[in-house]
Amino acid sequence: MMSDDGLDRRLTAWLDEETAPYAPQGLSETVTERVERTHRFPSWATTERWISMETRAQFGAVPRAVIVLATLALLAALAAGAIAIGASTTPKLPPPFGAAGNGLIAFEHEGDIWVVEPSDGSRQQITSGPPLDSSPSWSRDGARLAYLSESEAGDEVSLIVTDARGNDPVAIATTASGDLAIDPWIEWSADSTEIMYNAVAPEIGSADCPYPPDGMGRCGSRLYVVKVDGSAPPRQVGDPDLDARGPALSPDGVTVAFGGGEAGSKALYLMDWDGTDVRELEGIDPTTAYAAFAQQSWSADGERIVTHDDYESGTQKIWLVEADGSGATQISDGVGHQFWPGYSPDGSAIAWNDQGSSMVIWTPDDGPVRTGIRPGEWSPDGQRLVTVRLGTLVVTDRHGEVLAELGPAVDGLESGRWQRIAP
Amino acid sequence: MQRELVERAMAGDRDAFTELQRGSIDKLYAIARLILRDGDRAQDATQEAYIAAWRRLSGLRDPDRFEPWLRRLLVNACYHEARTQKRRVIAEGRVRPIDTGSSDPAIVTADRDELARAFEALAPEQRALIVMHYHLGLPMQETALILGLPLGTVKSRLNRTKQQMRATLEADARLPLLEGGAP
Repeated sequence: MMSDDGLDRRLTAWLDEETAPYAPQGLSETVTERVERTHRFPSWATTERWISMETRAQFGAVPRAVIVLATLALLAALAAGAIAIGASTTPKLPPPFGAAGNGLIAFEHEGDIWVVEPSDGSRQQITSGPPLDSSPSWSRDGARLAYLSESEAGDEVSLIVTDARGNDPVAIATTASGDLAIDPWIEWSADSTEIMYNAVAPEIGSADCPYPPDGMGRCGSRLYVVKVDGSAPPRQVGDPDLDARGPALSPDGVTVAFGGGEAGSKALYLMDWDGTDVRELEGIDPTTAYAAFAQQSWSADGERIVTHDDYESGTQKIWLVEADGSGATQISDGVGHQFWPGYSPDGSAIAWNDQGSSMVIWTPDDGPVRTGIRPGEWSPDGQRLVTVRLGTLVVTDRHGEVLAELGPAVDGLESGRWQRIAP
Repeated sequence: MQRELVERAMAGDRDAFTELQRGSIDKLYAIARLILRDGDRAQDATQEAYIAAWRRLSGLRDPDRFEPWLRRLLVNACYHEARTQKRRVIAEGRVRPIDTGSSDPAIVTADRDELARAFEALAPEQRALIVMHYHLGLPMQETALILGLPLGTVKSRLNRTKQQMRATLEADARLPLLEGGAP
């Protein structure tokens, strides 16, 4: 049973009671007097406006055409394998990219992972016990589920992979807990045998962070690739000197887009899955803000990338750019704070987080439309979204209309991730 | 209206900044007091947040984000205050009324006291997390951005914090009943 001891509601009520209604008399006047005596920084001296002109582009030794051909061969082999699998008794697998069928929804509740069957609302608990499990992520073939698990002592975070029903869990990567742990934005390889994630490089501590002391845990972040069967330790990929996070794999299974930079400058970068051929994507201005380019997403045809810029300056907006860096266009409407965009699997729409509390759906025809629902995740067929409304997991259409409520309202529910299955 | 004030303040208009300050100081002080659990330190943190805001305001590129930006400065000021001005915690006697039914207002008071003790046992960073998410009602994503933490860290810390509070509440419930502060 999902537990609900009402702590969330009790806390909210108690905090409301505890809140001082007014600031002490004289505080406002004191602030005003101090402001009168305080010189402000000139705008050019603030990090928010300071755009580094330093850029970095590196080109690997392996010709790109060779990698593309090799990957196409790999995909062809995968397709052949899928046909063979289809001919046997093994369930048919979905394609690794593009639209697919809608399977189970994995979600987190009070530190455990659950799955729910959206057609009838039946649930199954995948994890239990003291470790805090979060951020479930399905493999592209829908056969495996990865999640983060923080140890009971709170000193380590592990990346765990299980089958779709939570059996045979394997810890494939572990880092120290805290600010500099594995981020929840993990990315599966095209064949679902590897995962790319970002975490702090072990040799870099927060004390060496070159960025403003904002407590982020973004400093020293590097990309790692690890096999999901746990047969080998994680290996760092990409430029060892480049801060990197938010990997997103292109639909041809070749190119990874990620946010990165150094010396406080953040930009959008590309590289191959194996970490070679790192290059900055020209066309989108770099920024000094740490939270820029934390999440990017490719269109289904691989021709465009959607991303977002900084937060520290207060101007986080959504950008759509061609994969070659040309034609960067801001597609958010300039109102408020917009971030974490994701293409629908069928490539027909983009959803993003609108000021942390609602969701915008963008299409080429209609532009950005606010849905009035909390940010959610696309269904594999690209026609639905799963999100949380009033403590209940709900499935909506692309306009935010609720199609199904998946269970009772409970505390601590986090929106789910949808399993891809064969169409 | 607020956007216009922010734009004027960004251009160096102290009167506009004062007006913004007067419109937000009650809420900001309330947040600081919840995080720091001390009125004096909350006043100091609030002052420092406004001074930092004034000094750095010209760098704010989106006037619509003034409020969350200011909250972020406040949270940082609270952390700084908590680190640099550790004060002696005065132990208080635990008073719990006899359980006579859930409708008894004294039970409500007891619950309030227990919540207060569990909350005060948290680190300032944990309190900030609770205040942002449960008091201000900010979604985790916004909480993550204001506190300057990765989303996954916010999620795990929030769970961890609530577990810690539950453990404190449970331990509290097992303590011997003290009448009027006497053993």
